[in-house]
Amino acid sequence: MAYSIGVDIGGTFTDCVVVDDRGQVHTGKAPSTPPDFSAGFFDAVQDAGSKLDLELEEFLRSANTLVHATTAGTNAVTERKGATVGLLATRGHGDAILIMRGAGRTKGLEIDDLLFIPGTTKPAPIVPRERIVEITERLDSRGNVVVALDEQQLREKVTELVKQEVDAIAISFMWSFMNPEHELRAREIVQEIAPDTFVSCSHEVAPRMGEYCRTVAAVMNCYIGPLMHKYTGEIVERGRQAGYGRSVLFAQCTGGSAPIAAVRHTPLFTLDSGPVSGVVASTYLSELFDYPNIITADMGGTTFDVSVISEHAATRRESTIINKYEMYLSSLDVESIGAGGGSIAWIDPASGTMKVGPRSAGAEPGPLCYGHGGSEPTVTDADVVLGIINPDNFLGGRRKLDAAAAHRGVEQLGAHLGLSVQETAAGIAQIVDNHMAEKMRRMTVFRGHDVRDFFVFAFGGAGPVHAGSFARELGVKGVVIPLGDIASVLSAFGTVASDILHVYDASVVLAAPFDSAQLDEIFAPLEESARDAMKEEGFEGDSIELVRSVFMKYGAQIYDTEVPLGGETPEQLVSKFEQVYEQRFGKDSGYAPAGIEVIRERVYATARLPRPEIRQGARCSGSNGDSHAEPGSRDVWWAESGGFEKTPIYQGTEGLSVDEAVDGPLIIELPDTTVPVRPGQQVRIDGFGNLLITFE
Amino acid sequence: MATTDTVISPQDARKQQRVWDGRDFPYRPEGPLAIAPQLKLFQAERADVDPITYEVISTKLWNINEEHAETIKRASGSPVVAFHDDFNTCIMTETGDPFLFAPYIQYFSGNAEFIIKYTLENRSANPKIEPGDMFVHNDCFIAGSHQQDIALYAPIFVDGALFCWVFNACHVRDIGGVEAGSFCVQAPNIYWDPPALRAMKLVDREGIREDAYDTLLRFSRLPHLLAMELRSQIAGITRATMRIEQLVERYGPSVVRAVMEKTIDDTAEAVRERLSRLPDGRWSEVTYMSGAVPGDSAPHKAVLTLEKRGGELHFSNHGTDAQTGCINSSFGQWRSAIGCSLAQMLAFDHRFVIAGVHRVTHFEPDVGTITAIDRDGATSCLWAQVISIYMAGKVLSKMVYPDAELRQGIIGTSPLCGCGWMTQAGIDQNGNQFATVMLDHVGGGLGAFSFRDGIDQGGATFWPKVEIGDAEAWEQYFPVLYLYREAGRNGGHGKFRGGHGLHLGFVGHGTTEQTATLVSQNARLSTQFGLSGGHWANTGDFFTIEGSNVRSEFAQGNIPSSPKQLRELSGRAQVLGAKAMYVPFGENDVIEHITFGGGGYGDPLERDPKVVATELASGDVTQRSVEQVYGVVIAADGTADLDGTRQRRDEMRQARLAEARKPAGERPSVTGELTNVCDIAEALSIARDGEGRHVVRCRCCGEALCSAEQNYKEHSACIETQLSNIDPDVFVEDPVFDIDEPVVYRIYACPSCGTAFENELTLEAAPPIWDIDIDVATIRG
Repeated sequence: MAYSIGVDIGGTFTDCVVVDDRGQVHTGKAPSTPPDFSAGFFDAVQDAGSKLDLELEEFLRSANTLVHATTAGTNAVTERKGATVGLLATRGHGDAILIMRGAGRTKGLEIDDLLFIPGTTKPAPIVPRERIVEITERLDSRGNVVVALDEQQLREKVTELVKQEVDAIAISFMWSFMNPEHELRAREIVQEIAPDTFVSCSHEVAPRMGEYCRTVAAVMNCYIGPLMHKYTGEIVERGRQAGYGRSVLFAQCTGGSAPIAAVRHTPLFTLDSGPVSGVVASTYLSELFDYPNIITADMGGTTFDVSVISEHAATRRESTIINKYEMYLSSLDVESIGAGGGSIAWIDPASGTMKVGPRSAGAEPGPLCYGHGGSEPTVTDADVVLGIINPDNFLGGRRKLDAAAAHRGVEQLGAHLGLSVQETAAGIAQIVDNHMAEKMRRMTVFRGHDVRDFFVFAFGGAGPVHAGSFARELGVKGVVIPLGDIASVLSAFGTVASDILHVYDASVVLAAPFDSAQLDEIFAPLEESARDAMKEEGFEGDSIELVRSVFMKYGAQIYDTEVPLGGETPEQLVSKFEQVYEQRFGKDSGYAPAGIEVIRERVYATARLPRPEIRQGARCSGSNGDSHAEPGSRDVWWAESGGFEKTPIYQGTEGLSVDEAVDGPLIIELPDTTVPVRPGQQVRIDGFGNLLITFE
Repeated sequence: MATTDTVISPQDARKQQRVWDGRDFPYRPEGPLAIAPQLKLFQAERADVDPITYEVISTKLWNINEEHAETIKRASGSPVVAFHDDFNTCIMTETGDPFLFAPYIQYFSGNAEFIIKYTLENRSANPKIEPGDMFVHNDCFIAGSHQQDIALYAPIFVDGALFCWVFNACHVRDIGGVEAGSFCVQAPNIYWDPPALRAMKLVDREGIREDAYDTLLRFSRLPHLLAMELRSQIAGITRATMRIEQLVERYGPSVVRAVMEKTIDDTAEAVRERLSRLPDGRWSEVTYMSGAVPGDSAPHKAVLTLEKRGGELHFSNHGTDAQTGCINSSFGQWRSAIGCSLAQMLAFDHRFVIAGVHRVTHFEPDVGTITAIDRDGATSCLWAQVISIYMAGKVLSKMVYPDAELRQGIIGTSPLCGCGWMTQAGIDQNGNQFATVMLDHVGGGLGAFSFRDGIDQGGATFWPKVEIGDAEAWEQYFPVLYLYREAGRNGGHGKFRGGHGLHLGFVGHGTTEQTATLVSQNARLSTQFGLSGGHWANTGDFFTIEGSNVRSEFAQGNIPSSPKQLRELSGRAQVLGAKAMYVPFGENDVIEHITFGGGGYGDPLERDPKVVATELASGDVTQRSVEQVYGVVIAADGTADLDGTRQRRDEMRQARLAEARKPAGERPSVTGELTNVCDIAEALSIARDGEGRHVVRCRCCGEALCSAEQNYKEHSACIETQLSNIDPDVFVEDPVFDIDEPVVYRIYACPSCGTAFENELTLEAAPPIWDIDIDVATIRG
């Protein structure tokens, strides 16, 4: 038997998903072990192996792939525990990363925080002024040299900088992406002076216009570079010692994975690789199950992550905000709001009405019902009050919940509003569900998608609990809980569903009418770099796929959109762009008389990895066979009827027949999550173990 | 027999009669709106909305308004909108009460209210307000920030009745007037300004009205860009209308209406509750503006007085100079400017719902003045409006000081108070005609708070989502090369330091023809005020070297990358005055713009010496500032010498007193123990003596200064100096411009202990501003 193993390290738990070559999916779980996450990594792998009666060594020896999504980089950034970075910048522009485009106190804030100005602060500099060195050199917007690089000055200043014991040096010069000559030469000189220092050039990490976000990208790459170098080395080495003989792959926010060499060069792409892996899984499953249009809804304890898959393709974004720093980073577009099981319900003194979140009780102290010292009612407490979550069978019974504490907390809150405890609990759920529906709406309807063509893929610990409600509010076709209980570890599953992917960008501006030969000239070096890199990683010829795309916009407009190329003529490219633009930004939002431009070019280089073959009938763990166990029951309060109803409770998917629809209300308790099927909804299970909820 | 002296024109007659109809006198809705009966307004019993539905609908309305804003951003094609967010959107009740604004420029809010009300009163009969209509407006005399900010708005009907309005206003790159870019600095009156459109129907149920559209585009030097800008605004309105119609369809109009009403009511109630915690009184501010037209060196006085009487706030501009040149605002603008600060300080937790705030406000303008023009006044430079925001912030800061919670909301001046900005126009690097306004200054320093430092490059307060673009973006779109864009060192000193601004240096690049128009304040008359003894910061400065040798410096491998190095270039160097036009901006012409720092808070001698030492090490303050402004002694290891500092500060306070003019007034006689009853500023309080008499006293040493009915400044020690003497390091350029009248920077300090109470920048001949006058009978507790 051969296995594909995926591991996703989260803040609390490390999840492991294993797909065997019969298409059977198995899971493992272990507590995460910060600061040395690699211990938890192998604990989780071992846990999965033990379910297959395999010792770690034997298990790893029979693994085809071992793919890993890590939060190590993200944690270093959010906890500000990264490297000591020095920055080389163009003379006169070293302060860009300190100025933060004047938005350093506000970027990414939720609205109510934004409007209370005395509460806003600017983050401490990620590179303090004393480690920012300005170098005499200047290019203009066309990449022409206005002032030559002063190499002697560079040498002197780098020598000084190195004395400050920097771990890494970022090089970010104005317009370097139009002409990398100066950055490349600067790197050569840095490496002569400090050969062991980690170095990043902005034109390599983020070759596009906008010195602030490009500089932040280069600096962040350096900030996590040394740490990721060490971390990836440990994982690879421990894997090798434990018997794994192939290349360990690391999940990337691009939606693919990469071997250690690429990760060590651009560790930035590991940021957010966990949430992105959930989208990768969904994209893979969208093909497998033939659901072309999906909104992924990953709800955990503190955040609700959303992404959109349209025609089997995940939506991308080109920049990311972390801790108010914005950087260019091409990734799958996963957006978050502060809504989760731990979101706190509170009375807004301003309006005397109830609000939910964005504050969260998190995992510690967690909801009141955890009994760990929480003092305010949360979404999970409301779910307990309503009877949706079974306090005796939470996380498969691994955690006993204090239902009385939840009841008391919600009741006290409701007393302020003149509502009963159940009305209050239902209100908490309705408010948070509305927030989530609005978030999904902004990412779909507002971007030109018709939600009636979409299914919601609900996963994460709390996603399935609320999906029936927020999806109905949004107006989608229905909800899929992918692979049943695997939904709670979908990110780990996503890592084994990914391919090797590298992204190569150029920023050459061309105006329509386009010249195919000129485009070929721009793409040729990108493709050459892609082939070289893939070759080094052991892929050649037919095993790699290169896809071109361009970013286009109307001449007098600011916002661009990506248009994949598939052998179009220049004229066809123009009309394709107009279609894509209108679909994305709305009818009549374009203005052709202003001209049409290509502003950036991109090559996606993919090397296909063996995919896990999930087959119909190969039911996933937790749902072994179609035994028609009779469901139990309990009283559940449904907002639809405004009262308690005796509701059938299914333990796992046992008791449900494949492709046989059952009417709600009912509740399915899975080991790691709970799936309420609300009044007026139906559920059926398919041959893959997916739960499909539809509405009347 | 009548003489010509007694014959007055109908216009003047209307002015004398003070008819607030927006024809010859400003517009102000008074009493119930006069709306034509054929326009049916939505009416319903107020629905009962449960707290859950309220929250759900509130969230949806907020998102609708944000979608409206995002639609504009992505379709407008304007870097001014896309990078700087110089626009806003809002939802208003059927009678024009602004219910919800997106987090972009807030002064559009008050403007929106008057614009809608004017439209209701003047267009409901003819040409009628009907479903499918959209109106366009930019006449500031009614309301509007300046003519470049084009308002587009539409009524939304439910079952044939007017239910609400959706509104947006966007800064367009050129809408005519004598200057490219439409900042008409030389305008002596409105007739040189861009055309003023009044509630003109641009769209009706048939679509865009070609007559109006065609005419509108005709005004602009850049009609094809204006066309796109207008289309984006129409797209935004269309989307918001559709979404509100869906919302009403789903929840019912009376429920949605009830949510709007509750939101406004709650805001009003919160504001009233806050006001109830504060004593009544009167707070005043006087500011001098400069450069009414290029070359003008007269100071122009603006006065703002706030009186709190119980739960009501009365604002007056009495004492403000007559309108002049390009620096004016209309009454509507002035009111909306004050609204920005009111919302920030009293409705910060109510999403700035200004309609609720305005339930307690009253405005009593003298018309024909800089802050309330008559129909002839020019407004395209919007100067008095932005200055009024911060004048209002200052009087409100003093009003709220007695309440410990509201005191947290006090902020020194922030970007755009006294700064300048620059328009560029000419031929761009691709050979196309262009004009634009550069808004880097809005990313300047945020003033100090009452409890911590301001924020370096913290951005403007009335522009919550403010952001400046990248230098590369500007170089991509316009023919310019940044020589430097560096963090300044110009925050106002104080117990809490104001945030630093930006130093910007540019040279024209890739252009055959480019000029700049510069709009700023005379450097000697900074409006970047400090509070409670914190120092003022510098105002925006412009400096240029025409025909410089910058290109040969480039060739030799040099980049002048700081203000100091820029001044080493050869060529015709010139510090530019408050307003300048046709400033050459070609391949060899450099322009420098120093944006303002934020104002400081509290006496700098009260600043934590350890913080001063840290800031010396980081380069945020100079050695000279450390010694001369902060009185901190730095030990050999770079840390603060606390004993040495204490001694030095005592000496400095004594030196202050030695230098100061002795108080004019007598000390008050005090019987028995003084009991503190109300803190009124960082270093001032009101206390009661044994016989129940109230005095103002120093919070540091307890010295009684004067009776509570007197101006404490008359009883303080007063040091008269120049702002530039406080710390020359804050100023890149000496404020060289002479004002027609001598200017003075006064520090009012305790005559006993020397602690600074308040600083003012004013004319030598002007009496001390009586900035705080508390009605002691209303002090609570």
